[in-house]
This record gives sequence, C-alpha cells and structure tokens, in this order.
Amino acid sequence: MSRPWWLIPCALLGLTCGEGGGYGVDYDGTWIPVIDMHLHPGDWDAIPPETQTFLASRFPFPLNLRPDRTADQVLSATGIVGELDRGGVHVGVLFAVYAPRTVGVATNELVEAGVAEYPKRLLGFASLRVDDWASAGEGELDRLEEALAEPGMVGIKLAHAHMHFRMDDPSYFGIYELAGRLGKPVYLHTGSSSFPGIALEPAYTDPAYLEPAIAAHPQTIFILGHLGYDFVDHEIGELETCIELAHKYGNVYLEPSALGSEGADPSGENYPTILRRIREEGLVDRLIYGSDGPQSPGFVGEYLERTVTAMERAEYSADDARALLSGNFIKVFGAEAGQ
Amino acid sequence: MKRSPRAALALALALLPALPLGGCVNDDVHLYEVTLRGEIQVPRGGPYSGHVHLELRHARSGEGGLAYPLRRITTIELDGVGPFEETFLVPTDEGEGLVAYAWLDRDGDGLLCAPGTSDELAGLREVDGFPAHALEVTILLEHPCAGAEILYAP
Repeated sequence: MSRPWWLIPCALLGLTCGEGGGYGVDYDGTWIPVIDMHLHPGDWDAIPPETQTFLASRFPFPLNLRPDRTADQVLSATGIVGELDRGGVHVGVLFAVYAPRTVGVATNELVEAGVAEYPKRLLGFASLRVDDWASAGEGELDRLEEALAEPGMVGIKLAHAHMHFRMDDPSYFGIYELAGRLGKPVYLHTGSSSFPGIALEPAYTDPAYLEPAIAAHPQTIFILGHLGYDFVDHEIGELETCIELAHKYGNVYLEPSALGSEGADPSGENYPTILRRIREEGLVDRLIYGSDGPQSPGFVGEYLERTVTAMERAEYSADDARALLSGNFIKVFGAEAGQ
Repeated sequence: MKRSPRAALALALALLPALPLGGCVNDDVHLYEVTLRGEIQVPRGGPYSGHVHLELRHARSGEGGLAYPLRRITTIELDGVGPFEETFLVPTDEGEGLVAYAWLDRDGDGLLCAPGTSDELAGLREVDGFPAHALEVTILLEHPCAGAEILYAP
C-alpha cells in the first residue's frame, strides 16, 4: 500500500519537520501534535503462559523466534519511547494493568518508574487488583490513591473483561468516587477481546452496563476505550451505546485504540465508519487518541498512519484531527499533558 | 514501517540459534471426573421459575504475582432450582480447588441482570473435598445480580 508523503511521521524519515521537533503529523496542511493515551509497558515474565503463546503468534517473522526478547525490547520505557520516536508521537501514556488471568501484570511501580525516567515524554495511569475485593478492596483503594499522588500519574486504568468484575456492580463504585475526588479520569476497556481468559459476558464488556456508574459519578470522567468494539468477530459492536452515553452524559469520552489495526479491522472499513459516525453525531470533541501499543515493533507509528487515513476517509477537518490526536487529551488532562 | 530486506535477513540470521531443534511439544491435558450432586435453593417464597446457569470454577490458579481465583472450567444449564446431579471433567493442571457458582435466569434472556433488571439471584459455594470423584454442594441463590467475583473470598 503506498502512503501519501504527508502521512509518514517525520521522525521515521529522520527529518526535522518544523514544529514539534520531528513529531506530529501534517493533516490537510496543518501540523498537529500527537499524544497516544494508550500504551502498555511490561515484562515477558509477568505475562501468563497462555497469553505469551498468543502474543508470540502475532509477532511477525523473525521476531516470533524470540518473542521474550522482542517483547522486553518494546515493552520497556526506553523501548516505548523509541516506538514513539519512530511513530512521530510527542507524548505517550503508560497503563498499569492487574489482569493475571489474561494479559498479566504491569505494576503501578513499573509505570511510575517509566514516567520518572522520561518525564517529558510519558505520563501514567495507575490501576489496582480487584480479585479479592471483599477483604482487600479498601487497601487496594489506598494503594491506588498513593500511586495517583506520584508525579505524572494522571488517571486510572480499568478493564472489567480482563479483571473479571461486573461493570454495574456498585461494590466497586469506590474506584469512581476516588477518581472524581482526585480529578483523575478513568479509562475503561469496553467491548470483547480475543485474549485467553477474558470474560466475554455483556456485563463485563458492554458499555451499557456502565451507565449506573456514569450516572452516579458526574464528577468523574469516563473514557470508553475501544468504543465497545467486537475484537472477536471484527465487528463494530457496541459503538451506538457509546455514542448514546456520550450524548447523555457530559463526563463520557471516547477512545478508538486497537480497533483500527490490521488484525482487528481486516477490511479497513470499520475504523473510518466509526470515526464518521462520531463526526455525524457531533462528538469529535469527546474523542481522545490511543493506539494500544506497542504490541510489536512499528505498531505505534502504523496505527497513527491508519488513524490519519481513517480520519481522511471520514472527512475530518484539520480542527477535528487536532481534537482527536491531542487537543481533547490536553483539554481533559490539563497542563500536565502539554509539557 | 517496512524493514529493508537486508536488515530483516540480518535479524533473522542473528536469531537463528534460537530456533527450537526438538520440534513442537504438546502438553497433555489431565482431566479428573467429578460427579457433583446437590441442590440449588432460593430464599423461602421464591422466585422459583427459570433455568439455572451453573458454573464450575477452580478456586485458585496461577502462581506468585500471576495467581488469581475463579478460573472458569465449564458452564451448564439446569432446568430449574432444586436437586441436581451432573458429571464434569476437571482439568487438574489449570488450578486447585473447586467453586460452584449459579444464578437464576428469571426472564430467560441468558443474561444475569441485563440493564434495567435487578431481580435475578446468584449464589456461590466452595466445594469441599476436591479431589474426589463424588462431591456434594448446596447453593443458596440470595444475592441479586452478583457476579462470582464479588461472592468469593480467596
């Protein structure tokens, strides 16, 4: 597939591209900075064996020969910053994850260390364990609050399907109360997933089940990750529910990571269709960009290219593109993100 | 991004020593047959109608920081509340202990408490005595809309 020259992030070409010191994209003649709000650090040994096998099967040859080495190279903070550089992305956000039955564990401490190592390039989202909530929940909330007090830790990452807790269970609403009190937005995985061990029942994947939490916590910002995409059947999934929630609640934002990748959207039609629907609904001011990288070497830049292509097909203006790629993130997360 | 053919070849050659020489290794799956006998109960006065979804799970799986509870083994559907007897094959390498979780599908939609519904009951009990081929358990469905995770304390 040939790529228009202006879609290629300048850093990839080793050029200086004016504003941003080589980062950002040129969209319709306008230079736009890029913030990727969805990146996963980690290490190979903290990933369950079944998921290691799954991930290795997705690495291209010859990287699949030593998936542990490939993963550790791209999943370190240095590796991720390298991927941001290659992709032309100014700032990335690292997610902590506590999902031992699916993708594994990336601790708050790991994320904090990465952010401390690259304070001008990386921000962090903290998370918590929920699998012994009745007896350990209070302690987990305390640990989460401590993590969120660390420099550059700007939000909370949850993934009900990976962590196995119902979206509508009020037992866990203390997480949203804490988020609102601290002014830290909550990112929530919505939609299915093809990872082994995932909870695929609607109560764990369908954003409709989040409505009681959203309604009860108007001071908390909810970012609906993946827009309810069906990663199993590569279908648009629960997008309309996300749109409905965003219309109904001003504290709902939308994030289109991963769904537009080559694997998740083989035809290349779903991603532009989704972005078009959001533009038609007047909700571009709620869209925040993320890739769900690094996944494999080059993915961060590749997803940015696919996003630019999808925006063009969805007839996004330069102002729309700026809102998606960085403007809305800066609006939600404030000056911390603009450093 | 496209990697140049030369760079890809160099990387492939560098990694060649990592190729496994012994071919694939297929893990055996060890299954243990368990006949579970017992009763699904609801609070006095009901509700009684509807199918029951019964899940069998391991109590504990994984090791160290990757340990977690309630790995799902299988789910079956029973005709309703009351006595039951079912035989399961439990993969013994995937976890320890047994937990039975059940919920009553009052409206028949296959979903525990779809949005707007709040009157479907769930219950959970750890099954004592595993491993043994014949086990008994009684589960009282008394928690509205509760997932297994909130009912179990590891």
